[in-house]
Amino acid sequence: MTMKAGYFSHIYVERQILDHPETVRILGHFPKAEVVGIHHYKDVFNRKHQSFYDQKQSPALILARKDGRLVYPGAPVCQSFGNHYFYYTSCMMNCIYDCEYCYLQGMYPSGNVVLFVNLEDIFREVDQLLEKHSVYLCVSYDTDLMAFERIAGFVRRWHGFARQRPGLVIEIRTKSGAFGQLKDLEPLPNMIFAWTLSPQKIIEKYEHHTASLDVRISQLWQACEAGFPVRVCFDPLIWVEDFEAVYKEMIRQVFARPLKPLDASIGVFRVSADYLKQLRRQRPASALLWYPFMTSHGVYHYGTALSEKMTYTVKEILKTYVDEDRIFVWNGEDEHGSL
Amino acid sequence: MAFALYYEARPFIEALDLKRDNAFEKFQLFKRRKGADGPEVLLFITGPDSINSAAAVAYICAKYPPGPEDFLVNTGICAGRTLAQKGQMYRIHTLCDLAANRWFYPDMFLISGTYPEESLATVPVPAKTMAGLPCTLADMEGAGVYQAAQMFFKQHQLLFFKAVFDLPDMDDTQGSGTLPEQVSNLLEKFASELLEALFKAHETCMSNMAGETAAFSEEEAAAERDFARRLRATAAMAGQLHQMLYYEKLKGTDVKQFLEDFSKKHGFDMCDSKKEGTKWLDRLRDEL
Repeated sequence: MTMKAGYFSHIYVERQILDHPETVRILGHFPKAEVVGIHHYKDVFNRKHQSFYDQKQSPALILARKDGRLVYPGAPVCQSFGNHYFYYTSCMMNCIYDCEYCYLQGMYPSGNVVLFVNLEDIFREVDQLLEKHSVYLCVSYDTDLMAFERIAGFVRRWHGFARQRPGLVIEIRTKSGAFGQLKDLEPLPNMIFAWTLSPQKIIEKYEHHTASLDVRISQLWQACEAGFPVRVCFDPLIWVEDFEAVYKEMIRQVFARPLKPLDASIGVFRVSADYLKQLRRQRPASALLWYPFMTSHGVYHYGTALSEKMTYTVKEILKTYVDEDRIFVWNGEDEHGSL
Repeated sequence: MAFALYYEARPFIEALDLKRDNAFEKFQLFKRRKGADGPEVLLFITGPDSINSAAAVAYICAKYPPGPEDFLVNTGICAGRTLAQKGQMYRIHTLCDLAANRWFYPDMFLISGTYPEESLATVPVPAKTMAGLPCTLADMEGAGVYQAAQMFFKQHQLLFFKAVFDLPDMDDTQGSGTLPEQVSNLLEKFASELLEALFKAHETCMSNMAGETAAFSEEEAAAERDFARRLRATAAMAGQLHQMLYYEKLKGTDVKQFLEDFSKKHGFDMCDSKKEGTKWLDRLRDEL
């Protein structure tokens, strides 16, 4: 996407990384931005009384150095797609998109985007893990790395890193149409591109600024034809009128050309009780968020009956195109929520 | 609008044609109602220094609780470092409470490009020199205003503008007129332009607001109450019913019609018990 007017008009930079080569390079993309020196990214990101929604309309960028632990074990109840050594890392916090259902609105106090320039330190920590065992690593969990590729170039750097590490498998999850910037990359069997797919009417209504369904599908095909393993993610499933017809048509479009994804994931919308409270406060007029969800174990969802109906419906449609043993279904225990 | 001193505020009082509220005793308070020429304005004089300004802001905000559409604007004079800065208005992106070594960063996205931006140190005594201060500009109120105001406002609602009046480290030839006149004259130069930028930002803020909550018409509210009665609803059941109907309302459904159609389709009339009402509520959920 092109940056809207007002995006990153202000860039806060930790003074300790003012001279970092990545800082200099990224600032070069924003010659008109006001650069403000700060001590620590949390001085801006963790302020009280921020309006996530208002900041999303015109976010600031915060460049920082990530310290402490940089790679985290994936929660045991999250979809690991059958991988035992499942991890995730956050090279960026927040996303340039503005999806109404995004759990980040509940998790983060700010809608501003944080980018950690010291990717080399994350690489070092991954290498330490690889000395012990293979690693399955999700690198685009709390953000959309591909959407920011033109500025950060992190996907390309992860490619370079993964290329020399066959024991590492990484997933790049996205709602963007940015694969074209990466089409020169050599396909790697251990670099999975995963597109989150929603029906176009849901994209228009709730996934603001993201790529259209048509664009995401064409990107999926491009990545597949380029030789990369691709994953199709129907998560979150959103309850709409004529649910079955709407999702059937979407899946038909996805597989209109022969496509052999590595696997697929399905998950109904779910969100923790605390996060939903925040989300509703941010968006008092979002029909999606004000559905009368049911709660179990502190997680809100559509209720067992409807959730099962939605999941079963989509899985049955998907089985026509993807082997059943390659379809991973959220089983009702993930507390973080949908991406 | 918060000003430390009356002669800083005077150009704005005159430009906005504000009237003093003589019944207000704690501080000087000037007001005007919302009208064709702009939003409602409360302008108050805090008195000099950080504690006075924090106390005044807290008092005013407690008495006149701000809403999501309101701003807190602190404008006034400050000290600068260079001749080029003298007489220039700045938007403040960083405030430092020097006494406590605490740093603050109000959100800047509502107004940008109108004025150059700088950092501001709030000092406990008038700055005799700028040497050693961690910011480009210095005043005695800004960080105090911020710390009090952030309890009542969101970060993007806090706006700070300072005009450089004096340069402590330079031979600073006094202008003509008394000191108060010089201060008023300086801020008068910026009053119209600043007010225009603020009003425009206010309009932007209003148009960006995340949508009003959906309000039920009287007919819809009556239909909801009647349905709850027929369910023999408990408070919890009534809450669930309202949640479902609010969802339908946000989807654009006519709530009254929705309930009528449901009742007709399923032959729903009056429940004999709350238990029966719960079952009907579940059936209503299935219709969503």
